Amino acid sequence: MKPKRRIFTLLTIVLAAALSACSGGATIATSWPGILANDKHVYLAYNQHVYAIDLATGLEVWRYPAEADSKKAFFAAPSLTADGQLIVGGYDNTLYSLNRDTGAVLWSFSEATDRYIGSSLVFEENIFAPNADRNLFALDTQGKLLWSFESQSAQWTKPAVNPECKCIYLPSMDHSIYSIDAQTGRLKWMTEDLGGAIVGTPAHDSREVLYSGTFASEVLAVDARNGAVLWRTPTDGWVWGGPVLADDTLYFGDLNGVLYAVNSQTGEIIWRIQADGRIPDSPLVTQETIYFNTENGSLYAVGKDGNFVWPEAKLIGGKLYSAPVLAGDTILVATVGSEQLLYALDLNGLQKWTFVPREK
Amino acid sequence: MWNILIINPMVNTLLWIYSVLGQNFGLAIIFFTLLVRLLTYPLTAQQMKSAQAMQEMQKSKKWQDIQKKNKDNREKLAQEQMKLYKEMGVSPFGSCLPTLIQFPIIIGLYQAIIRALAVTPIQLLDLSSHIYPFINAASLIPMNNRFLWMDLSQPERLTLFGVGIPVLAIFVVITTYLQSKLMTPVAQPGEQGAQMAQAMNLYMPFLMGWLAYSFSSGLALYFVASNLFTIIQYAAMGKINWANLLPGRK
Repeated sequence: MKPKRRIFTLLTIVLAAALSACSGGATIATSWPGILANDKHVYLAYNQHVYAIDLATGLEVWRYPAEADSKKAFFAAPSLTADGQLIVGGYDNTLYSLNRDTGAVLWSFSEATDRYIGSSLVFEENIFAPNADRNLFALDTQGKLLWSFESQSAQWTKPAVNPECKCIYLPSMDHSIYSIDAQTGRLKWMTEDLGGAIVGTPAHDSREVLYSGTFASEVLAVDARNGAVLWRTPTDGWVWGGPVLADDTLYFGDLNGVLYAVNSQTGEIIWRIQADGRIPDSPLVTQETIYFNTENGSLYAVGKDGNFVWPEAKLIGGKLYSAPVLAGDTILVATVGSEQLLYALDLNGLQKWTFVPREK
Repeated sequence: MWNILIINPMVNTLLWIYSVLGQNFGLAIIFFTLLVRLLTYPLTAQQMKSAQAMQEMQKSKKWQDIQKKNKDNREKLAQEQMKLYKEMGVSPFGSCLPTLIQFPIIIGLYQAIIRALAVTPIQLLDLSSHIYPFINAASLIPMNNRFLWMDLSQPERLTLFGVGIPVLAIFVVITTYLQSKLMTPVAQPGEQGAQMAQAMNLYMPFLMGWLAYSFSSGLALYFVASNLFTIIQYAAMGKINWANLLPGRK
């Protein structure tokens, strides 16, 4: 009987260890890095810290918190207010305002009951913070709650805004987009069930049309005045990142690794490119070139005619989930699972510097 | 391989049951547990047979003689026991098999629950690559992780008067204790293994309770459902020892 007992005890230990290993925790990254850059600094939210990095040198300026705290994790890209506050939401259900020069906490807002997965929108004097607890929180720049708007499911992405009508366009995982009055928080309209969750920020144009991708493997256009669907275009896979609009063309990728160029007026696919892996976030669209990342660790550069600008994709390494970000003439690419957390490249894909968070 | 053989089928079965049962993940876990119980029934039946054979063997004169004869020589005792196992066609590990099967199921189910509920972007991205084409995932996501008072993706606590009470973990302790008490054959005085069974009856409920307390309530719900279905299954087969619940019985 003794061997039986020993085996059983051993297996229970293995079971507990196996469950612990797959249970996740603050130190295991559950999302990808969020990046914001201006002409001096890159602000990078990833796992247990928000980093401020010198754009010219790649050296760390500050980090928040200074010491890792297992209760805190940050993944949503920070946002900057006009008066220099860096707004960043955490997985500890708290929205923080940091001094952009020092990383000191100016105020925090803790009324949410779930994670901040999407970035906050800063519009005029207010902050609009979507939360996974289904609420969009509108705050002033002192952190005072102005109003909150509840959707039917979690909100995972930064809303879009129309300054003309002061309308917030809020995508939700409940398969709908909401138009909300930015001043009062009142609902103006909501779309029908669009067939799948929406986790990318919609694009908006001067013709009062919103463009969004969904998990129903579609990109669609919605009348921004009443929420009516204008056209739908099927894609090969789920569309995670929001489409980017440039010169009447929408650029976006899907989880089947296809990058699309779609006519924004008709929904017709102009061209499509098969990449080497899934495209979970939006492309970066410059005057002439579209840059996009794949989960397999590649950075692509494609012309607006659909031809490759670089003969081969640049293999960055690790997994690339976040969209590439442009800061001046520097492309910033954040990685998951490689030693370098951030790569700075020139427009030809040549490396300027990399950022490896130093151990503390 | 683990994903292909264990996790993916579990995730997709859970998603399919979830879609059929009106998008209620708690009910999906309960029905999934029932399904697992039915699928592992042949092993359960085998376990009962083995346990019974073992018990009969341990009551036999030959076994008692071996114990007496070799009580001071453990090595010799083990050899003689193994010989007798072979002679009587009893596998010493036969009754362990269903328990062993439970381990990959528990680990797999836990991973499947966490994966299916996908409360973070990496989890959802991961889920998207494991869904079979016949599941209409777009209409199911986001999953409704609420069941009764619970968030199935989080450890469960029922807040009463400002205090979080782990109700489900308490249920897990009670039902695991009941299950082990009811299914342990009545021990004969001095019978080998009786002491171990007693220890396990005390140890297991607390281990399972700790797991239920620490991990997502979806797993705790599986434990409770699994314990109750097991008790019902054994009762239906007439294998329950109700006498074990009486005070003073060991």
